[in-house]
Amino acid sequence: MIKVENLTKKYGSFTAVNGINFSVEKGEIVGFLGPNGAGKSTTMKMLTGYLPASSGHASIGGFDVFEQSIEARRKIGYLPENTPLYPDLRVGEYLRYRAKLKGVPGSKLREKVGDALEMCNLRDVEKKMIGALSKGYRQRVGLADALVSEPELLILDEPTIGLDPNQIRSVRELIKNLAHKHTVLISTHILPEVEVMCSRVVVIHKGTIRASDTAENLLKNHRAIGHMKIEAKVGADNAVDMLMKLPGVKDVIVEKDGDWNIYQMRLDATADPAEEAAQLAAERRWAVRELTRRRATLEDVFVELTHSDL
Amino acid sequence: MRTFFTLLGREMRGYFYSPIAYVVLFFVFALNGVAFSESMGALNKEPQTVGVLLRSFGSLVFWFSLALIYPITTMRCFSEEFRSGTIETLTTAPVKDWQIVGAKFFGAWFFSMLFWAPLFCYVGSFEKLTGQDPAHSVGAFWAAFGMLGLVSMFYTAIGCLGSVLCREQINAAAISFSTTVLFLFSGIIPNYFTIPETSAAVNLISYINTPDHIIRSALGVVDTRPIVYYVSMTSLFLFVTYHVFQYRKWKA
Repeated sequence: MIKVENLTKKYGSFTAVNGINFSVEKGEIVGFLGPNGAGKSTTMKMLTGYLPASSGHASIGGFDVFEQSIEARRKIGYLPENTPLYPDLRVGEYLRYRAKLKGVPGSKLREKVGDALEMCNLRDVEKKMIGALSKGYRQRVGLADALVSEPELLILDEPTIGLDPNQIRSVRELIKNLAHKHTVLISTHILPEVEVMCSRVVVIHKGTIRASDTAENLLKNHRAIGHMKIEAKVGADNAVDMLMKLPGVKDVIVEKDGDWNIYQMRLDATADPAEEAAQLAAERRWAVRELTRRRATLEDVFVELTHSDL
Repeated sequence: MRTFFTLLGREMRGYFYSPIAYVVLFFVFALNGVAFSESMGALNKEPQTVGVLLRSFGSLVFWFSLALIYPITTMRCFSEEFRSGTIETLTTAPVKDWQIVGAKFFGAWFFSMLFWAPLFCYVGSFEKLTGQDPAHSVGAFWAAFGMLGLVSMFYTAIGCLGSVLCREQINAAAISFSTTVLFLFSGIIPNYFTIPETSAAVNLISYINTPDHIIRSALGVVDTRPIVYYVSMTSLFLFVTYHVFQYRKWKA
């Protein structure tokens, strides 16, 4: 459905997107992750034909985004970041306008707009002015706009940004329901959602693709994603050096809590030095109040892949 | 064409949703009413050699309203889309850029023609009440109205360019107003300089002199030169608007 080859976007001497390659198959839900300024929105804007690329190719459903832009855009439902809408229109009126613009035939207009209103729970505000809606409703109107022509591909740029937890939950449920009918490329910072919703994750940082795999494989394969914590009184021992010698420990950070020292360790993916750590504490007669091994999350992978200093 | 008419419909409705549009309509109607009333007042004082319509085109109030209409009606066309970010949703729909520029231009032009609608009431009521011809002939009236349409087309295109250049509506209006005034009142430039009447500059100024075009058409003179001038200048300004629009969109 999406094929991106050596796509580059430069703003003067600044390279926002640097020769990226990835593809999204029909029916996939792909999480497009990266820190702010990584190039996610720029890539999405290029895919929707809003921005031209400096070089490279991108196609949607077999249509070149730059050469056959109109045909490619017919296949896309796009929710831009911040959901720009016309505040002077009513919700129903706006969706009818957008549906017509996207080529929905007059005979199906009522049905499609009705479906979008139902799917996004907008029936109760159908006749309200968009300018009078809350942020959550505006976001849903943006989603309804993206859905109204039943496009094959949905490109959603930060669909939950700025929403409260209840609103996030409602938008998340909506996106989950869309998964059956559409291919979805979604950018978000809410990583637990990506783990649950997305069949694949593409991580972009500083304009380059850092990883593209299933969340499960990313967790399994990435080099330093485990964590262990020990809270102990270590006396005069140089505990950091001792802990660094445990198998699989990448680094150790120390914090103080009164008399207690809190040691946070990052581990290799396959390492589990909890037993060795307990032995060390027993040998050195440390008083230990907590020893925990935390399972790695997608957030750990994300930090690992996008932390500039690593 | 369906897409174009969908966009045009949205543009037209957009004007009527805006309270500013009604305020401007009210003021321009009032100003044109004042201009017509002045003409009738002049007729009451002494016999005139020209009809009441032509006399009203001689009013400063009429030209003042003409200079204001187009910057105000066009200032929001593109600048508001860029400011609010709706340009992104608009241009990522399967819509061609020329359709957007065309719809915005025609929407603003059709709306600006509404400002001249009271002319029909004025001349109709004048004729009915006085039994005199308001213009030199029916043909002259339509020629004047047609010329107003062409003038509106050109100044609307100027307004569209001003709007596509700026993010803030007020800046767009300022640019359009300055350019409109420059073209509209270029005819008075020779009054301030000693230029031989046969010089190329005077010829050029008379060629682009909007008040002269309107007054001559109200006398029943249909000259193809102003028609070519307004159509070609409108095309030129729309061409530039189209390219600035693409440039700004891609620069976003």
